[in-house]
Amino acid sequence: MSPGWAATSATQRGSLHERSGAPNQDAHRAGTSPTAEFAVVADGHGHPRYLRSEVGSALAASTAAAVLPAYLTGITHALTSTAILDTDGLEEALAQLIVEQWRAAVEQHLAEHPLGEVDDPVSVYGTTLVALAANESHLLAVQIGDGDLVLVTPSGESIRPFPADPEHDGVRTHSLAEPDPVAFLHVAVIDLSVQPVALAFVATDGFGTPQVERNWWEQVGRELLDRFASNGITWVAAHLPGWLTEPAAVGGDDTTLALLARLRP
Amino acid sequence: MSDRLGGAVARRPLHLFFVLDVSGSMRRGGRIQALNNALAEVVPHLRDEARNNPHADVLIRVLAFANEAEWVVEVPTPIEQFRWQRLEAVPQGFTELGSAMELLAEALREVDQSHGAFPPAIILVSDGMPTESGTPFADGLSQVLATRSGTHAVRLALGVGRDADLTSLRRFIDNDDIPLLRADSPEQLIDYIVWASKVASRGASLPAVGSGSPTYAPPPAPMGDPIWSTLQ
Repeated sequence: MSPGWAATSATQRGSLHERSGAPNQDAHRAGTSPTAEFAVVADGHGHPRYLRSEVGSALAASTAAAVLPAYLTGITHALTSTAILDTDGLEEALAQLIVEQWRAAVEQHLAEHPLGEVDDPVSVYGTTLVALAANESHLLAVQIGDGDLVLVTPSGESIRPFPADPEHDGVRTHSLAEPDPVAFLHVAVIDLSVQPVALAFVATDGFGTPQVERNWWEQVGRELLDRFASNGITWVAAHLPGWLTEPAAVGGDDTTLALLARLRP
Repeated sequence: MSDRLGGAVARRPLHLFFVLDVSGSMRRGGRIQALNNALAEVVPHLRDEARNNPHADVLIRVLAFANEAEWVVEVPTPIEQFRWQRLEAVPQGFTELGSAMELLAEALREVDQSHGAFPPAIILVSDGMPTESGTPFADGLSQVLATRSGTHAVRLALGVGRDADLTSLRRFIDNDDIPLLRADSPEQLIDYIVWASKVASRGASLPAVGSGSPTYAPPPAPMGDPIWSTLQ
């Protein structure tokens, strides 16, 4: 059964990375599971110290794509069958699950591709993660590190469910690879009957940072909703890579965006 | 329909502040001439760095202090348009570093209000002990560090000669991973300012929070005889 959402994603390598020969260190996943759609982006840290960050971001994206839909299915059942539920506990448990699964994937990669002498080998996989999963009744939002996560209501109003982190100054960011990532991993469970959402998008900071307008995300949310409503997801998916070209060229950073759009609001 | 998603995009500003001592003692031993030569020499290096860092729009400001602090270049000026204007040391001028910090803090508060800027970089050059006929150094520094930009800035300091107050300069840097440099000759001052400017303009490539401190490659080996340490 379709979960009632469509998903797509795209990325563009940043001009700075093209010039330096560095790979695109962003990763993205968008798609469907039997019970939920998901849209995920991850941004591997750019500093040379994080020499496997493009692997770390790919593992973060695949981890979230696997974990979030299954977790959403489980908590949807719990939320609809129990009057009193500890949503804070659910959110913390998901944060811990993501971190554990990502670290396990990293350690497996390390076992298959050993590093030389490195003090903290997991840290070289440093990455952010910004992810969404949704079904008919609920939407899960997850973020650690910089980047943007925006929900758009049916009337076109954009909402950011997580507060801006003052430590994200354009250079430094929280990371799945830091010592206590659970403390900085935001999770929100959104009841769509209380807070209707028509579209949601996640983006790495390569998209938002070069935007001139401080509230750029409001305009982007409106435009994505309008374009999806007018043209459908196939058209949006075909045009999305082109829309990322200018921020990647001007801003220089890898630029990635993934979105979920509701088929039956 | 526009093929753009959202509004206009632009390179991210990287504000680079030079905070320079033009007190009376800078007239000794050709220090002010060396400082002028160093800043003139650093401009082409900064332009090269900017060309290699296309996602940053390097903007220069210059603040000088003696009996008082004042902007020499107040408007953030793109490095491509920046021209060094030679400074004169103020005869018997004091070292009002605290007042300079206070003025710097005002500018950093403006940077705090901007969107998408890289953490700024601040290069402080001084040859003496801060005087306190105006704002005490500690108060001025507190104002700098009370700003978001000041807290996250790459803060570098160069002492000139043996009378430089390294304790104050170290408090300004407040990062054990960043070397505090003392120049004892014109050659060293040039080398160190070029090094500091390169470090500052590369601020955009610092690593992430939570995985240790950034590493700063050491400056080039000192050159020239230490003439300023032997001057009275």
